[in-house]
Amino acid sequence: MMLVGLDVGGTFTDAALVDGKTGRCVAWVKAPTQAGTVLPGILEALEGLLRESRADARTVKRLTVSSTLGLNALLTGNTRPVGVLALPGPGIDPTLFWPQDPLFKILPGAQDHRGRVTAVPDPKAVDAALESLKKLGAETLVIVCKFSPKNPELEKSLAAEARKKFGADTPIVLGFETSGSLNFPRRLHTAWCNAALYTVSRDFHRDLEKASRDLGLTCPIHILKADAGSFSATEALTDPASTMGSGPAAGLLGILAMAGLSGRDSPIFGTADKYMIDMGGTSTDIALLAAGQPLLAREGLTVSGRPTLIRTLWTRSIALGGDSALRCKNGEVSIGPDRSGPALSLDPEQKGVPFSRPATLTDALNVLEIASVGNAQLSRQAIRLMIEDPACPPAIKNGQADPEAQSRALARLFLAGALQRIKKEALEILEEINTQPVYTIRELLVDKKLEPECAMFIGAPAGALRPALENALGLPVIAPEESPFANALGAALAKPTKAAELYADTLLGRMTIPDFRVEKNIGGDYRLEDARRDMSGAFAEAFQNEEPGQAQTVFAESFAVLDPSGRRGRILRIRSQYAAGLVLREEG
Amino acid sequence: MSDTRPEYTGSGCLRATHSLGLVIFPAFDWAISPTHPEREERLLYTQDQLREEGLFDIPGISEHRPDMADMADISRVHFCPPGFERIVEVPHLASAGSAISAGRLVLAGGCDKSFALTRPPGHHAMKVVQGGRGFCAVNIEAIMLERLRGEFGLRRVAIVDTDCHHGDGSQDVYWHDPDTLYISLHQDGRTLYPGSGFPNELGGPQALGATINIPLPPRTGDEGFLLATKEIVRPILDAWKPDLVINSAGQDNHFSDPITDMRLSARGYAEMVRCINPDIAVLEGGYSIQGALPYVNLAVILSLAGMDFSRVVEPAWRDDLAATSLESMDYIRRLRDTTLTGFERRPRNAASGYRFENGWFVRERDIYYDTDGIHEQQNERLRACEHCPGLLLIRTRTHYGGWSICIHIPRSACPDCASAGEERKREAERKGESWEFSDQRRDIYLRG
Repeated sequence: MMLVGLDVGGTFTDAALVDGKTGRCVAWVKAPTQAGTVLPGILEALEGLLRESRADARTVKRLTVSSTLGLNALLTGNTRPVGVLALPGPGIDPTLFWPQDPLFKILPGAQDHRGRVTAVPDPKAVDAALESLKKLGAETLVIVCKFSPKNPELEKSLAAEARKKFGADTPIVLGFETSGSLNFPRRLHTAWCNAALYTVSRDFHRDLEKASRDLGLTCPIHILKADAGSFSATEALTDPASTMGSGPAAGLLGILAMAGLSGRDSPIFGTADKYMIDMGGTSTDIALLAAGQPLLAREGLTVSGRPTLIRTLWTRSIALGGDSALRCKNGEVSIGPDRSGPALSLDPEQKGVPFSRPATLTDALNVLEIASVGNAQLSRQAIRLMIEDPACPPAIKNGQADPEAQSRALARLFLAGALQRIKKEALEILEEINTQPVYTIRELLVDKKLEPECAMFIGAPAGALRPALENALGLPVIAPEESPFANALGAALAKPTKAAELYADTLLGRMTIPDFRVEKNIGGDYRLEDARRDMSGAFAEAFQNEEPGQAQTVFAESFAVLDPSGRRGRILRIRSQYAAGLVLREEG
Repeated sequence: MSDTRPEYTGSGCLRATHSLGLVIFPAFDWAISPTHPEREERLLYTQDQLREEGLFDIPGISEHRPDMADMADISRVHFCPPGFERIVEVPHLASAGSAISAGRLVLAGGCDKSFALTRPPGHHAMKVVQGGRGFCAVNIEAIMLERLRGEFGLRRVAIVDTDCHHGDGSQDVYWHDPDTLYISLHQDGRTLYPGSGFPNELGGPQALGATINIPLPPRTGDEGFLLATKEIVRPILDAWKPDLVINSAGQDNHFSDPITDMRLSARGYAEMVRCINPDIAVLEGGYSIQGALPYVNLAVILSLAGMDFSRVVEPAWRDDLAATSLESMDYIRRLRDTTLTGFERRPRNAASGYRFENGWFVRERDIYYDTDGIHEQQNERLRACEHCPGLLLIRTRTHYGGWSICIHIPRSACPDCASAGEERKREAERKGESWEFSDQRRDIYLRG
């Protein structure tokens, strides 16, 4: 079974052909990414891959693409005008969380916390809002009502009105179809992203589909998501927003895959909790694996200031990397937060004293002979120059007379500062996760905490810094070998993911699973077992062509409820998911 | 980009002007009984409303996990002759623990304000606990406050109780404490459980004026509540100058509450909270779990955070509910005048209900525990003392048990009162009485 992974980066598009049984990369190619458009790079890489590997295109079982298309479109404003109808009802003033936008219309209808309609919007107000949106040139529409995951009634009736005015072909994104999670502002922003990206995403998938068929590929095409899983191109059509921010996800899967190749008994491959630390030039990202699965943020991705419900890795980014500027201030050392550029040792413009900009963390590593990057002589000169600075910590000069030894002492101080910073942030993110609220006595008593047993460390300085970081963290640190195709490999091995919430209210006789767009009437005897069955049924139906195994239940709750009139019923809530991971592990 | 905390680019600025820490503990797996008003479902809709509002995305608003209180925390406040293990369940420890967490967020956690949305409530639990009263077993505000006093050395603290029922438990716990100002606004005790909280209840003989009761007529609406808050509560707080203000935030004054008869709205509550300006709020009662709690809690949270709450309008709201009758407004104005005059004069040794016997203030009381159907008989003796609040001795028994003696040496006890208390303990041991001993100065709690 062969798998193809594609990772579209800012500079290069990487493609990897992967043996799905062993997880080994059989062939890989790099093609330049063209400015403003991702398809040509993808095609060139794909063509090159098939040519070089001489693989039979028909043996490829799946093609998975991690692309910056959606994100770029949003960041560059290359989207179509979106008209929004928001029904906030009682609560926080929605203009407080929405950008200045003439295409944002607030309507007076409302649903309450059980999804009951408490106010029907005035038809005249609806008509006026739609008329205005049409005049302003809205091409796609978003309709979001507070509590719509519990009842899509108002959104659907407004959509019917909108179609009358805008025509049956106008893409309309409903809040109900966007997510089963409760968060009205995020649902609005997520729906808006889906509407804004609709056209660009549809065109891309049509072109990609056609181009891959031309190359002889017959397999399904999948798109990588920010939650480190994939979904089919068909799903991506209606939920293009989920494909934004898949870059870090591809990276994380890549490391997991690389680590896996070093042996199944590797501690990285097991189910222990662990840190994932990725140090680049400008920043260091910290993520976590809980019992071997990538840990997702409680809420979702924030894209250009819009908080969304897009499931994404729980990461923390620190402005600290190999290129961070080193300085002495009032007898203390500082690293970053600004980037000084590549290490002085690598910069052809730097010819020795005087330097036009500060030394970098990589220069300090050169001095300590932990790294050997470029012309280390320049690094030594730059650090020695800092000792002459009156702001240099006095202990450095007082400690020893030898300038070489002083330089090394100062470089050590910078390194220790950087490592302490990473440690502090790693502990903070852990604290953040471990102090998440709990809502039941049982959870409070059980109180399971995440306890990382080791850290995986990647990025350019990782190999050199591994022992020092191990010392600082007090945990085993593993630095898998750098690989130029890790992200593409990660994309190739990504499993399909999905999360869904079910909400049922027997007194109102209604059950919804918005993430699968399921809605049905239920009787008073509907129980948690019925809800579980409906949930697995929805997963099975949506994934009938895949074999992702059993959906995991995140929680399943049943509340006895009492109407003011004394009628008894129950409210049921279930959250289930296919969690992220490697195809490989399933089979191993 | 992967930061999960949004940066809002909206036209307005969605930001808490006071940083607010929330401890939400709905105890989804516990109830007194399946159809009891204080049941699992009580905070379900509130939680959904807060999530749907995106409240936790607002910069300055954070949610925190509760700590668990322990038996030491409870014995710092209560005497419990049947034994704590027979009365106190894990949910009570979690609920009191939620309040403690909320308190710490303000005193040591960098939050300007905090709110514990927790259940079960506690303000009907008195100094002596023989069973459950008014859906309460232990007094969660008092347990929090005494823990905070030990950890942070607070002295003058005010508790403003805005539950519709008189907080007779909180009043009783602090009845003899001149350093804790207890103010209760509630529906007139002649018309509602627990039937107490009249203006002449002003505190024990040596803590007079540190208890203030403001009973309001049935059907008082926003107008009347705001009059009472702005013109009675606010001036008293300003004059008393507490180091910390706690709000026992019951939400059963709401016009939709099924077991009370008031007409306050969510916005009225929020306005009242803005005027009281508490550091810490702790949820108490409130049983209109669908029509009131989601909206009142949201409005109170926005108010605590210093944000706009004008759009939190209940679906069932009608404008004619806002007014308070002219008679009631007149009554509240008269109550204002007598309360403020009384507060300024701070009468000494004029507590009603006590007789004076050989250097002791003495009273007898009967207390009923409605949850458990227990009758308690109490003989309370306070040592008359010019130097401190005085040693407190409470003899207590229930209709099924024998007498116990509870000995309470207050935090600021003078050496004479303290040694009298220790002597009484030795006497109890000699005589083989059932006894409980609490020495707040040394944080020692014993029983025998």
